Amino acid sequence: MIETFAKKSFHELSEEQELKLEKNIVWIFGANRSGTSWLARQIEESSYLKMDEPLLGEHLGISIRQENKMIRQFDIRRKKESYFFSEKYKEVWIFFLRKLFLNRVYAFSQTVEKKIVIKEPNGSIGADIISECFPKSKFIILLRDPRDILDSRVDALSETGWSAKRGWKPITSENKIPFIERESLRWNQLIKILMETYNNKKENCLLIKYEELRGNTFVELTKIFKFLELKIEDDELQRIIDRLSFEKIPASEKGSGKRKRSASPGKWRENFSDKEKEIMNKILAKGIQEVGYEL
Amino acid sequence: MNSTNPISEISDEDLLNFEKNLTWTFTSVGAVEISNWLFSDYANIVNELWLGQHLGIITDRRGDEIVTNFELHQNREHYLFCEKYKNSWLYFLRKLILGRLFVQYGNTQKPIIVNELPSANFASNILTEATPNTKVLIFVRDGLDVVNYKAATLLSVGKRLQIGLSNYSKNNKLEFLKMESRKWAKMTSILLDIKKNHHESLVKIIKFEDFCENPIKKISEIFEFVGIKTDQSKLSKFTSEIRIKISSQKLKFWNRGVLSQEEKDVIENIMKKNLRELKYD
Repeated sequence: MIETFAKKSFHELSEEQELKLEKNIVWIFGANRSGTSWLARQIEESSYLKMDEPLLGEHLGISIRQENKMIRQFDIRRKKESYFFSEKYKEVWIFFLRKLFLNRVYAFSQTVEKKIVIKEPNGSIGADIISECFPKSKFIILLRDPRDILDSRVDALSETGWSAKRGWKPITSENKIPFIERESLRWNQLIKILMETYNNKKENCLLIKYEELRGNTFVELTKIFKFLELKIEDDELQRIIDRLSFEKIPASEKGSGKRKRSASPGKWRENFSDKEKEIMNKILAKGIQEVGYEL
Repeated sequence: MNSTNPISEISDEDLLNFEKNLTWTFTSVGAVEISNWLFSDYANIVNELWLGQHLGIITDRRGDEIVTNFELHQNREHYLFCEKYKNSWLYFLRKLILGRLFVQYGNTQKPIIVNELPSANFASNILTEATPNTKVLIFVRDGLDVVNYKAATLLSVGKRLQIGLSNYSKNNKLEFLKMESRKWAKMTSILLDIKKNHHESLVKIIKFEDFCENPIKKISEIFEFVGIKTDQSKLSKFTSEIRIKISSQKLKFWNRGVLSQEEKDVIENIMKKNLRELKYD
């Protein structure tokens, strides 16, 4: 054998350890810019380890645009036997994918005893597949009005936005409308997957709205911690909330163009033109109403 | 989740033998069909596995540089495929790849050829690193021909193509050509790195142009490399069909000169390092 993979330089988990670790994981799914970082930090503060974006779901959920919808290669190809993630060999690839991921998490955590929160916004497009691979884990789905998400993303990708400064191609007047169209289609695709995940995993899954989490953080976090079977005193919970509140962030570190922007639901109404609102509302209408936002 | 190992009765030795019988074929535009045609009677061909596409996500981040997800996130220790924990994930990625394919093809005595589309090439380095005992057959092609073909497609589509944040049409053809040139250069760099990192005896690079020039000689070499015994009767079958196959490929891609001299200069400038390394003019 050319490569000595057989002589491992790391510990391989037993099946019992894998199961224990799987049970200790909580995933946070939601669109990029829907408050997943904030929620993950709050859970981390209560003694969890945190993994930021392993991107397993992003690799599983590669998508293309077909006319007026986005579709995953997984959904296009799953019936084909030759496809790596085919339906026919699902039991096999899930078995090994689960092993790969859990052992990789262990390489980072070095324990199976601690609780771990995994924030996976950009991988949420694979939420349903992930929830099938890790049926004993818990899942929190964080929803936010997609028009606020778009508003935040447009701001981040403006010439002076934090995302553009990190090297991403900025949004210009020329490509703004195509961006809005495409990202609205992406949200439609994502919300369908997230709601399917929720409906299939109700006993292990909690649905939260950013607007409610922001509006009444104490009540919503109490609900979340109860779901996680995590006992926490009210005053400790309040300390966590205060420590991580948007209001505590120094003025110089927040605002337009910054990663922490406004945390104010509904800003999209002021920031988009009538034409832009019309385009996004037309694409998003069905999904928005299904998850209970006003059109 | 059923926690029973579905391949628990397969030994490490079985898996290793299976790995040695596996050939990754990384192709360029036009070579996928040739590869299918060559191997169809003598091997199990895995067409459109699509694992490479899942692993090889790319971004044209600034609009002037193609980056893979691996490169973008490799230094972030939370990323599944980060550099820091590479030993761990490579070991289990090997199991995932071989375990999945073994269940489908484990009983065969024929060589197994994974014939990936060009878009899988962006993860060819990861796939081959995870499976160090596999053979790797790489078909490369002159980047100018590849981009010429892409440009012809863009112009024949007749409508705007949206890729990432950009729209392409004949009005911004040059931008499109630059992006496709960057893709070719990136893909070729990754493929050439396999030659450096995989075991030398397990990598064979075939230039599509050399194949067209002397097909029977190249077919013999390829078969020997993959482990298919050739005899005169096999070769004579190819002799009778090869001219048709190659001329159709040539017609398809080479006679559609849609590039101006200025465009060719821009493309060559982006590709020059790899063109030189592959000894293209």
